Amino acid sequence: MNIDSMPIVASAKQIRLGIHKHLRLRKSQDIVEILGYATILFVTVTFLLDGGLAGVTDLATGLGSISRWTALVATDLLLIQMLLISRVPWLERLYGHDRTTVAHKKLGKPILYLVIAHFLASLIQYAVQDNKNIIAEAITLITSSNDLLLSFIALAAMIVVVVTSIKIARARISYEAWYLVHLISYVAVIAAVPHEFSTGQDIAGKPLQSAFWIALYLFVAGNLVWFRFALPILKMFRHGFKVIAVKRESSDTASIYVGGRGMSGLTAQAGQFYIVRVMTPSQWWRPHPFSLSATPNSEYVRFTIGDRGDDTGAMLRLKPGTKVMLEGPYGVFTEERRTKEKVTLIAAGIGVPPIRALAESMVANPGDITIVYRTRNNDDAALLLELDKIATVRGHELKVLDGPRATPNSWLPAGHGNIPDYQRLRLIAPQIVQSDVFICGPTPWTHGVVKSLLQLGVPENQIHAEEFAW
Amino acid sequence: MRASTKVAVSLVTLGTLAVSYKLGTPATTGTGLSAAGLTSSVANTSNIANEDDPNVTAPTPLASPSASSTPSAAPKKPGKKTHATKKPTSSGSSSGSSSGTGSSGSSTGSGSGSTGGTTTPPVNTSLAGTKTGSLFRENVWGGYVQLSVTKDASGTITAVNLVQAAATGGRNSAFSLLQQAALQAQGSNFGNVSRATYTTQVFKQALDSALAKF
Repeated sequence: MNIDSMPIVASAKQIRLGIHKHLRLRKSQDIVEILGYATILFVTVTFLLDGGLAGVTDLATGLGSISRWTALVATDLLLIQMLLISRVPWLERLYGHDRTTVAHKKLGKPILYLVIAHFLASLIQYAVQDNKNIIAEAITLITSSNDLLLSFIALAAMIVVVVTSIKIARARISYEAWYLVHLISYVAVIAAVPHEFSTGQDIAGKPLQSAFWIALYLFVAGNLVWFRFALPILKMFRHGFKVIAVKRESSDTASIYVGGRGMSGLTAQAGQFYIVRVMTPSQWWRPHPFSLSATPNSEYVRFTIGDRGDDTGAMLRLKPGTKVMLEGPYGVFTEERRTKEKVTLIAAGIGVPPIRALAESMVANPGDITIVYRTRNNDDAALLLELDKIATVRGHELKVLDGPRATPNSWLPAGHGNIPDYQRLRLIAPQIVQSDVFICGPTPWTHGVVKSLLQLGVPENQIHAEEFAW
Repeated sequence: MRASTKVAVSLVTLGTLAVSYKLGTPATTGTGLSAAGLTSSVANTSNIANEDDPNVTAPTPLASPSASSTPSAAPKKPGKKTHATKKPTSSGSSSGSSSGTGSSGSSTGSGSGSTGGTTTPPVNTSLAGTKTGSLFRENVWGGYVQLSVTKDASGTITAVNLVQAAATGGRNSAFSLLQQAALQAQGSNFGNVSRATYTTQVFKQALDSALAKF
């Protein structure tokens, strides 16, 4: 297959529409969330049944109870947090990679606070009971038990991980440094385990609780090891992915074609992305998420990426034959989320690849789909010619909006007088309220579009946006 | 989560928490457990010993094959000289009711020899006498114990007195039970004082180190 011929992949003949699909999804999400809450409820209930609150009589026992409960909840949340980032398909399919990642990030600080509370409460408790000062007690604890020494190490590791992940710190250190530091979170999780099972008052010697925690640890570890590590490696060997071509798309974007054995066995859909590792000595440990910019075919998958001044710049110059590892496909920015016959696709800048892939493959009669492409400059817009060809062949409306933005808060370019963005959007895409809207672009811009849609009265379940959560 | 689900989950959560709080083991200060307490709680042998509540209950004599409601089920073993060879950790876990804490329970500061107190010069040929054994800080959940053991001429332990002792986690009330159990078992071959597993271990090691001096 010649990459210059740009095949337009005929889409599936039928697609199920309607609100019921959406309701089923919400129901599944509720079940998963209830299971998550249930684990926290379970540990709290067993804690209470063991006299967690009833046993509090003085300062020491009160501190002991605080220490126990914060430890239980923190460990539970920590395991949930690990699961959220393990990229398990059953979670990704329900929430999308962006939402699981956001939830993972949000849990970081609360977990650390709980762990610190556990640490301080137990330290002060023992200091009170032994009539020692806190420093002396800490030394006693560390030296009396290897398990506790490990737990101190785990705490230190966790503090380092969370501190380096806070936004301000992320802005100051490179992604690579953050990534390496983040790996020690595995150290934190594992080093905390021995003291939980040997001295944990709610675990040690209690068969039900021990079984619960062992099962939880194994479940999370199994999902993590299999889906995050084993499966991508197995796929890499099975398919032997490598770059087959790199094609310049604009002054700062290029398409990378990745081929291999049995490419038709990949399950990726238009709108999804892979996490791509270029298997060169300098880059293999720095993966990047890239959206498919064409519907996958039996020869290759195609990514279109922008030069962001980091590794992506080097990727534009990749040599054909370079081995790559593909992790995924991830994301729920697909036609599976569609509920309406009409569709509006809205892209900005380097958000265009998944929109391009969706425009190619979505089930539609001529006139059903409107594509809005926001560019800085039409002469240098990635994939514009391809979008134009797809729109012509399949009968989509294509509206290209170029130029600087109208006002600092606007997501649209100047023009159409001074009417608000949402009114202009209705002029640009008259069917928009009756359609599913797929948005892909930079986060602030996406928020602007979503705001306009809500002002127009587009129901939330018709709005599909994928953020670059990374 | 949908609003209706949220409401349902919140209600169930609150209800469950309230019930489990109500059912939670009530607090007792754990001081001055009487002999009556000892008798009544012996039947409770299937209790899992744990350290999470200062409310201690009596040990189980190991020799009784099943739960017995009378403390007299523990056989007297007059003339039993020493349990020094018995590993404290194994005695701690052999009752079937100890907490599974093998790793941290292992002894780091092993039973040290007598450090002052009422030691009489050792007379190896005599069964009678008073010896002191002590153990400092077996682990953080134990405490320390220094005790003296008195035997009569027939080798029967007639008294186990605490020279110095302090248990962590409010388990000091366990000591009177441990002393009774030691007299009854004529050594350290008795089950854990439930809810004071670590303190039991420390006590037994101190006892063994004293008995080893006879």
